[in-house]
Amino acid sequence: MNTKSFAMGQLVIIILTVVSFMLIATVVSRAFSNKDDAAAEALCQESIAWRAATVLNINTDEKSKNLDIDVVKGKLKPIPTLCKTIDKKIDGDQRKIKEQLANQMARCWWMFNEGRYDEILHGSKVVPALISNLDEANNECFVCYATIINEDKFDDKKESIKSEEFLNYLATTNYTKVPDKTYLDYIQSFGGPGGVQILTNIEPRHAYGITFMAKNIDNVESTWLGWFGKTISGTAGGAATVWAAGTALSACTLATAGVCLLGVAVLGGTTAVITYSAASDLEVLVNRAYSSTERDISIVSIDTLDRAQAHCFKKDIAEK
Amino acid sequence: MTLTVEKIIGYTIAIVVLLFLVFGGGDAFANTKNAANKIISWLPDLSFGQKNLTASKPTVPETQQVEINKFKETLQKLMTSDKENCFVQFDGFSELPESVQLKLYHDDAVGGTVLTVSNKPGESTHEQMVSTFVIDKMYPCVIGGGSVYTQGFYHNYLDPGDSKENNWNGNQVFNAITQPILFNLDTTLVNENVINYGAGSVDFHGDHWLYKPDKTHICFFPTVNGNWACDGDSPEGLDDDCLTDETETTSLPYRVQHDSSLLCFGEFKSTAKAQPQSGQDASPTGIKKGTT
Repeated sequence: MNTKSFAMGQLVIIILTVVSFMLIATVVSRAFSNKDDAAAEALCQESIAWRAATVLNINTDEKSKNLDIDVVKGKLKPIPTLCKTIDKKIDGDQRKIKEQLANQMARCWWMFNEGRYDEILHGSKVVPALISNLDEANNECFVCYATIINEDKFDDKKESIKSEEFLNYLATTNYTKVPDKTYLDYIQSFGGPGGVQILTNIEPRHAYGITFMAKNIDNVESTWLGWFGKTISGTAGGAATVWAAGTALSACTLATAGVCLLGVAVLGGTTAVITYSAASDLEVLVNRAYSSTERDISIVSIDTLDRAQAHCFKKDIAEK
Repeated sequence: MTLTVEKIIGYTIAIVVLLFLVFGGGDAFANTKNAANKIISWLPDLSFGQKNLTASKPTVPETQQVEINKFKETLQKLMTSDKENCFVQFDGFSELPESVQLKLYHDDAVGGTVLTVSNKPGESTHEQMVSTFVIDKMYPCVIGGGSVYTQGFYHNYLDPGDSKENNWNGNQVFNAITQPILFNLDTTLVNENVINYGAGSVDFHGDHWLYKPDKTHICFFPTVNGNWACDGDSPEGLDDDCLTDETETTSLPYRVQHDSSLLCFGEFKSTAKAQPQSGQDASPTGIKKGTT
């Protein structure tokens, strides 16, 4: 037997075995990674559902109110929210990037039970009824996904996907998991009332946070203390339509529920107008976008990861 | 049956209560019931589970939906028309609901102008998108946003004779807008529709008119409350008489009524009887082709 050819043969077998193992390991680890993400999404969705189902309401039902003053009121939520921020890396052409981000926004909506419950991230709280409305609303938001755009540049030599363009994509593209619904339809009216905020343009090699913000509980009070509390804790009008001048940031950089934030900021309708032209004004607008004091609908938002993490819970919310 | 201490106490309590109810007077039972109700009323109302919220698809009232559809058709027809430097008269908008807003902006990504309609659910301060559509190749503009535009349009189109007297030689007549244009209801003083093209809300009494200066632009007419005569003095927009007064010889309705070639398509619809004033030439003195 030729020793040389035998050794060569063995070497080839060894190399093939190592390469095959590496290929298999890559495929398996990716499969497990995806499986982990799916499991994390499902765990979050189920924990939210259980949390909502097991809430103990104390003197919160307006219909059953009698003329006597309640001593305490509040909610006890025994089930923790088992949600964690999922890290994602996405790539592809612009259409693929938009599709993946849209899917993540829709998935975030699904994880939080499609906005069916208000203040679902709010902790348990039982307080003396007399001051319950003076208590500042503390309805946090949560970062569902931390997503990196793993591309050096987009095709067509475009520097970014503008927020209006992405909003238009959400409004006109069907979400495959829900028949006959666009992404925007799914978030706005499938389940509870919802909205979308697009607080940034999307650029290559940047990281973004997709967040969920729960609706606040309707808090109409007949007592003068309740009115007083709502007045001092609420902002002057809601940021229904907010515009940011195009000079400091490129084009439309903040958008809410179908209205792009661009140009001038409109507070509470059309009477008060502020023009954003400095970073300080932008901070005001961003803070308002994340404000929990007047959130009438649940919102899924996309923003820079830095800003999202600065304003919302990230990682494992069960650690809270 | 073995009598235990617990059983003895239980039976004793039951007998005492019965005796109290029977011999305690006619109101004993009622008093007991009242006392029990009072105790119950002090107890907290308890319930399990959070209320399930449901949403419905955002819509606008039928009246506005019809007007928006007509608006969309008019814009599309204008863009497909070969005619330029012309005007269109359409039905405009009735008073918009306070919660409804229209927004118009050009988007290079779709190669046209996007019109979105949004509404606020219930008492919400947040808006939801009702519908969106694209007018291909369209760029929005306004006759406003600077005296150069309002004066330019007035002198070039409405009163060229005046420009000769005043040595007006500007030829800018429309303002191409790069940021979104909003249409909504202003309730500050009087409920009326307004237009916001980036410098705050301006009256929109010219909402029945559109102007197509070239192949791609379609312009809107912001207005200002006038001084009983058409002019282009305000940088925000034309005097509303320029768009609404059919008797004013320098007004757009008057000119179009007497020269239908100024229309891109359709016919002039009078909303009032036009009475040319005696001694004045009822014919327009000619329309110059304007530029940005």
